[in-house]
Amino acid sequence: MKSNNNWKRLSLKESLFLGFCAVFILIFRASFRLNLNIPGHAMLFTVFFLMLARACVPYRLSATWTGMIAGAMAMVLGMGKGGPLIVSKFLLPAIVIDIGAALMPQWHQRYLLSLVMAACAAATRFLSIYLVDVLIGMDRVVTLQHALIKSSSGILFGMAGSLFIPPVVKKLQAFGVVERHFPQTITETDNS
Amino acid sequence: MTNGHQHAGSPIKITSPGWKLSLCVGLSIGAFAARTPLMLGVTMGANLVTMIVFRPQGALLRGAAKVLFIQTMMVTALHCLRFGITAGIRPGLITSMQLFLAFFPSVIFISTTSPSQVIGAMELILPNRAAFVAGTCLVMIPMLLRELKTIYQVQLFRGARILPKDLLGPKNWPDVANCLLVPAVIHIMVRAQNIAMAAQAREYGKAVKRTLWPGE
Repeated sequence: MKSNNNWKRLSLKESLFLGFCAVFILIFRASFRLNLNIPGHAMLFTVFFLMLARACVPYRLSATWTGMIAGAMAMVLGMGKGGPLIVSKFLLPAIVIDIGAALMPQWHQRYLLSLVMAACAAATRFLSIYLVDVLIGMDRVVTLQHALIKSSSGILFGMAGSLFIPPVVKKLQAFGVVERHFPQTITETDNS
Repeated sequence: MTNGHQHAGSPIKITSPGWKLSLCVGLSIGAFAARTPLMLGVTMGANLVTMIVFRPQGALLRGAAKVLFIQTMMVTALHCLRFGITAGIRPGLITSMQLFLAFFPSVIFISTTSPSQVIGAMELILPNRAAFVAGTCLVMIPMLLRELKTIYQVQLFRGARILPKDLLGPKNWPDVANCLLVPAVIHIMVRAQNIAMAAQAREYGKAVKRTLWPGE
């Protein structure tokens, strides 16, 4: 008998794939920071790999899990500003992506839905910057300006990253690799 | 190499990564609370002592100095715009120093901790499986980079328009998706399957608390 496995426990293979997505987020962030010093450009890779994680692995918290791993790695590796609060930079967009995917099941097949989801996810950068600045004790107006400057470019980059999702997922599905590695439905014998 | 964790006689050898991570996270949190010049001075002193004890490497310190400079320019400029030049400089400098001190302890941690100790530290902040996944994926970074480079070069030989100058034209972006991203994603799916199979062949997940390789 087949059933939807969106709430099943992640298998080790799926966990490792999500871990690799998290590592790719950090690799691209680190490598592009050296060459491309445009504020917010890191959102391109963050949003792309978080959305890819959610599109490929049939688990409702795939993106959140990837964001948690990426955040923990970034904290330990000393990437980004904000100390332990760096985790929120990955976790908040990931949660938005998981919520968006639950509300719009066909999101990865449509450019418009991907763009909307990416814009909402990247907009959380405002919250994470605002949170750090408020905790530091910065003036509210300066905090708003600082967060707006940094997050507006992040939204544009995040939306650009989401444009790669429909063609990549379509190609992966056409090759049958997603279904082969991470089946969308499981039989009762698989579950045992 | 002159990594901090490789200095002969360095106190790092007798310091557990868990203790060091807790200290650095504590210093980071301390920066958020340091809102007066006195508290900021105390936090800076604590960071300085930690730096002297652990001896981080020069390249990362130069990177941190660059972050401090950019951050200070931006935040102080915003404060000057809001309060005027004379009234804005002091809070601008204090805030940028706080932001820097929230980030700097992580630089000390990573530049004075060996990769195996970093993986050990992951166990403290993540659940068991997540720590295993994070550690495994971190160890695989050099190999992933090599494989990505191979895919990139093979696709260039096949005529894919994915050179940095090609990426300036949006008409070449589909090539990035088809020739670089799709093969890379398939590659990591296969890699994940192989690692999971190898781990499960050695009965990963059978014991409640997994064993860790103790060496460097």
